[in-house]
Amino acid sequence: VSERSAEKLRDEGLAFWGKIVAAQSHEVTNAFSVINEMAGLQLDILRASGVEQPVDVLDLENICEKIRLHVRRGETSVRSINWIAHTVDLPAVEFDLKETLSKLTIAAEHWSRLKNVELLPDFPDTSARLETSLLFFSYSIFLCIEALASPGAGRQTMSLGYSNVDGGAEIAVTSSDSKPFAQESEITISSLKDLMNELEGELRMIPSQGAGDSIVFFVPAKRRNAEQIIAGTKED
Amino acid sequence: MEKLRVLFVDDEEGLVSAVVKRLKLRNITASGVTNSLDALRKIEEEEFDVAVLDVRMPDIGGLDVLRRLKKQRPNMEVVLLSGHGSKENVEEGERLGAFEYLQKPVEIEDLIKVIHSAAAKRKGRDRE
Repeated sequence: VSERSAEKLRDEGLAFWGKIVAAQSHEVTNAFSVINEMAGLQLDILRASGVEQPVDVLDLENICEKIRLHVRRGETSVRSINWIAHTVDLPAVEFDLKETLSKLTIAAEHWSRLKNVELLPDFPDTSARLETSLLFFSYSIFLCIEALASPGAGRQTMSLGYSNVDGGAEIAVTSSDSKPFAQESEITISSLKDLMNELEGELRMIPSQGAGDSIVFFVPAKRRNAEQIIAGTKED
Repeated sequence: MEKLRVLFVDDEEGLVSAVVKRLKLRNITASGVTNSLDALRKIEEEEFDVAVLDVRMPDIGGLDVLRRLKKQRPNMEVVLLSGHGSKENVEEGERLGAFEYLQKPVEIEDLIKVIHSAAAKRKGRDRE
């Protein structure tokens, strides 16, 4: 197991978030493209209408509804990008776990869709508050998804859940199917272990014996080394 | 004059349905699919003059579809479509024989112009 420095992990985590933001920007462009075509289709229908071919109002209403839907989709993506930009590189931030996992699900939607993975939230009613590095925390979740993804195996669903445990929370990413655990996944697990060191957490379940469908990690409610890191940042 | 046959491939369902309807309103025989495997299947079953492919799709991306398609139907022209075309993707598309690389969102009249040029190139080759 390699123990990379916090700085190296931070660079890797930010690079990963770069991928997520790039995927989100595609999501926005796609929403714009659909809106553009829907508006054009409306215009086409109106131009083609006349006495012999009256306008189908229901048809136009459906198109309007789709336009609204894609405006909301684009807005959600933009909000997600904005949230990432404002929070991701802070050494420690206090956040509501359920709300943050919901935002991460949205942020990762396009990136995971390109891997043919549908990420489904599976949250309990109760939430929890954590004070930790959002960068390392989110990077851990993305690595879980990456380790469990089976490229080329068709559509795959993964649930993202958590439970409150003594001293913190357990985060679980569970795939709908098991796959032979590839060498790349072993490398990903090694990165996850390094991240757990930084988060002062631990990996509590990983796929074993060449196959598996769940990764569970524990994160303490408060990252104790955050203050030292903040102090270190100030010295820089 | 024979109608142009176009296959539009993009994982955005709303985009595919709108573009296909708009092409049909312009007297083009258009079909649409929302994933790469369906695109390859469709190309095997039917003859198209031009295929318009999204570059970023789950599992098999547009460039891989282009590679396979050129083996399957070497004479078919392919127009690539992307949200943010990277230089590498554009160059790879050209190398694999794509006719044109367009960025989303694209105006329908611009798309049709490119489709007609691509179809003309194909017809020229068929005559040779």
